[in-house]
Amino acid sequence: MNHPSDAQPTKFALNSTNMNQVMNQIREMKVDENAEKLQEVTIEGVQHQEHAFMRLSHPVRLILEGALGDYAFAFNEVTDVQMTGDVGHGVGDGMRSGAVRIRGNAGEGAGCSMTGGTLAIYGSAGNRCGAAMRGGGIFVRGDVGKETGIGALGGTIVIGGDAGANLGDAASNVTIFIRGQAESLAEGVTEAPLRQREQVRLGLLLINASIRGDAKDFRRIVPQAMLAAEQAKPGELNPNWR
Amino acid sequence: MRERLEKLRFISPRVESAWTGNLPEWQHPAIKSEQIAEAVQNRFKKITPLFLHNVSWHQINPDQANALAVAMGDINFPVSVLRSEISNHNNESLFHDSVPTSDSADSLPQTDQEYPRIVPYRPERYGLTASDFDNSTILDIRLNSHRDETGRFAYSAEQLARWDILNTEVPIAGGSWVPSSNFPADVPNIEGLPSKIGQLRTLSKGAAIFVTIDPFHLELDLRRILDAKPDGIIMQLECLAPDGLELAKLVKQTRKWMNQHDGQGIPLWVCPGPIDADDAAKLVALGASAVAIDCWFNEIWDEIESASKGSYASQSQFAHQAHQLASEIHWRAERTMGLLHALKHLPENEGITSLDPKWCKELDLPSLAGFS
Repeated sequence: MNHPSDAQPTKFALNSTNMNQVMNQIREMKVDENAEKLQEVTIEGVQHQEHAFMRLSHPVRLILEGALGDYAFAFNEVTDVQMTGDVGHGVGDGMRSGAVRIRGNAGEGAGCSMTGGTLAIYGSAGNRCGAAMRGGGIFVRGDVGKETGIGALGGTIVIGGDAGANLGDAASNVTIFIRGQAESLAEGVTEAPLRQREQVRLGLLLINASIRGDAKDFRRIVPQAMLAAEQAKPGELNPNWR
Repeated sequence: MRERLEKLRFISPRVESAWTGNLPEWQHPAIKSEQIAEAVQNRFKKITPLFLHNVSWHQINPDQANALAVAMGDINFPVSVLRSEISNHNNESLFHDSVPTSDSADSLPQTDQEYPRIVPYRPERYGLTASDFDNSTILDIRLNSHRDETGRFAYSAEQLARWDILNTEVPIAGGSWVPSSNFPADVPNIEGLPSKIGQLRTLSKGAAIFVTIDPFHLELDLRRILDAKPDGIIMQLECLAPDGLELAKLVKQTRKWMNQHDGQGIPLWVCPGPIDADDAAKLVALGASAVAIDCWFNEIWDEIESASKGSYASQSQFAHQAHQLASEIHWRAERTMGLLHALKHLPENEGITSLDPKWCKELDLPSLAGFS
């Protein structure tokens, strides 16, 4: 039996069809739930389009090459995106699930307020990466700008390179792992070594995000109060840590 | 409830004025943007000039809050609320998913029958879900500062819990509160606002995009925000203007600045704090397009809630209380609507005056011959 994933990859060209039409055609694609791989959809004509592929919720693998403008892939669910090229501000804004992998650089507020899924940036990301995020994971292979993780209430941020000023947030529940150096940490935030279970967890996350590296090379950035609570009761999170 | 603008008086037409007969009721000015959906334009034709902007929904039982929002929507009062604030455990919200029950809705196409709903788009987007964008009337980008009950720029744990961010396995971020922001983290600066507005236009498919701001840096911020081409401005005035004359001046001055900065025809909605029905009409006469009545809601709801203490909480009880609240607000709004209807008998900017020369001078109002 031919499953859709076995068929030839579908192609859409943005130079001949507008964004809405392409989105509708993707949404209408029939998907075989039993297929082992997601059906591939290749998008051509990617040329700095603004607000591209937002609120896409369809189990396909989107493959793009070129650069996109601001708020690409915002509020996406389920869809798996593999993109080669730079993106503007707010990539993956409000994402709920699925994956967005960018082989390029991202602007400010990457993964802002996302609640789930995986956003992997294989270049560098701008200021306020992962701000106000509530879940999911952000992986940046290169450097991030200032105020990474500000206002974040959950999720994981992994930084392969260096970070700008005010990394972390004293009132945040987000877990930040960094391999390089931070220009400065936010008030009330400190560095801590990885515990055994976090090394295992980070190792798995790195594999999932296709990022090479050893979890032991990373340090953890946590609120001082959270660390104190952890140390007071090893292995447990104290709900009243602040 | 207080009459803060009591020194302002509505003018009657001169004795020689022609009998004009029945004039049409007040109607919200049309939104000029071509990017607004026809269904949304039609909703604007029906709404009252009174709206709910900042109700503490998290302090009300979600089912009860939903019934209240529905009751307000039924009488065409725009209500600002997120789905997560008033939905049940299955994420269902009658206010978001159903259509008004009023007779006037029967003659309209299905798409025009949604409740007039404002989506509060806070910089952090806590509690916001993609479904909030669907069929919304207004998307309100809030660039004003949010204070919690303690006065901090923060959100309380109770508020976060209602937004379904906290659960028993996760410690409360920050202990009892988390800091609030007043600018979206994914917009580099105010010059980047047009791109954010463009994103929200795409996501909300034809809703009007409003921007809420504080009045403290108005002269600096207003022009730059208008450059981003929003469809409306909401001014959070209650934090600055406790005095009636100051309130009136701020509304008049903001309208003037908006007109000077190419913002003619852009609606100015104001949140004045405690006012009465006459004040609301006077603020519209001074240049506002709609006025927040959160104070009416809070006052009436407190009365209803305290009167029903000890009674059994059920859906029918919620509906009864919601009907009570909507009836009382509607009764007050009738006075505002009546005064706005009467203002139509007079030329624009000549509808109100004052016997106090200071008020006349400060607000550039027509003075009464022989009295000033």
